[in-house]
Amino acid sequence: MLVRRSFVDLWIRPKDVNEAKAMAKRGAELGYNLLAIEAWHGVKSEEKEEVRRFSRDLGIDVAFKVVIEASKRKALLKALRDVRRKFEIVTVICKSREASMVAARDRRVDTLCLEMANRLILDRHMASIFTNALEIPIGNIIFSHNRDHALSFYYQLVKSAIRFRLSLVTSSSALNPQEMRPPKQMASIVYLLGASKEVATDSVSLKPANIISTNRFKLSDRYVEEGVWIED
Amino acid sequence: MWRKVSGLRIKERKRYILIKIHGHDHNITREDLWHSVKDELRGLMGILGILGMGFRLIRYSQSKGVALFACNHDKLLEALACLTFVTEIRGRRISLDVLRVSGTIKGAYRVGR
Repeated sequence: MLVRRSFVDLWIRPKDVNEAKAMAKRGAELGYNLLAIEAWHGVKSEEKEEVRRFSRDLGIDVAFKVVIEASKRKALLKALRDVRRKFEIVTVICKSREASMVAARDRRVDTLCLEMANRLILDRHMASIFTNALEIPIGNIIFSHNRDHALSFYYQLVKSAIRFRLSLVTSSSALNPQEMRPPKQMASIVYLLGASKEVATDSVSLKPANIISTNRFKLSDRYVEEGVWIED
Repeated sequence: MWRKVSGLRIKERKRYILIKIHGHDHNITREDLWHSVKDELRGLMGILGILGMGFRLIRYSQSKGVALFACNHDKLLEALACLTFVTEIRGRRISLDVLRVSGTIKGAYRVGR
């Protein structure tokens, strides 16, 4: 029996509830099964529930995500202590090598973004401690002012990730419904950057879905600690 | 497109990509669409890359904002990536959503019915 892939957009950035609903509607049109919404500033739990309910009626699941920008080790660790167990996905945008070395192996972090403005390189040393997933935000390439530079940077990043066998995930990082792209088209960009067809397709389906399902289990009441959970 | 291999003429296998313009305002002409896509193709793949892709616009419906492109079967993912990079036409922000990919023109239109 063939199982259909479920497609996940691991990062959308609406400004408010109405935009979140519009993006959920667009996500459902594009064929996504799950959207990860970066919680906007001052989001209330009623608003989250409203978005979840709206998305459920469209047949699409929603997870809430927090994105931490950090350049210092202490600030990053403090932020992780504050946000964990409140969000289903934690992404760290590393502004320095110090922060990236901490985020790469911290269990509370799900994905890491290395941005070209910060000139960070994924080398053998970082790869040896890398246990989390590397996120490729496609919007940073498509809507970049210097697209050639962006393509070159992400090409090197994907090449290094494949060489060191790191987990790759892809997201749209869309600010509005217009910037969202269908999942197979996002996978085609990752393919263009040097990944194989299987790695590219898994980066918009299997890998992000696994991250979210694992985190949801860890945030549930059944989970006690690593390797210990309550059976039904 | 036909090519010769040791005296035999072999037809390149094609893939037909049906796309819909999201953000379409019915003012986008066939030429506007083709020029925007061709610019992205040239920027991404280069002139030599384009030659190997066999990429062309087959049909376009201005009223519906639906277009049918063709490319060689082994360059399909590159073609999809190029279409993803198109973000505006004549200053208007749009995106090209791929509705279906098929080996035949008739098959590509099946999703629209």
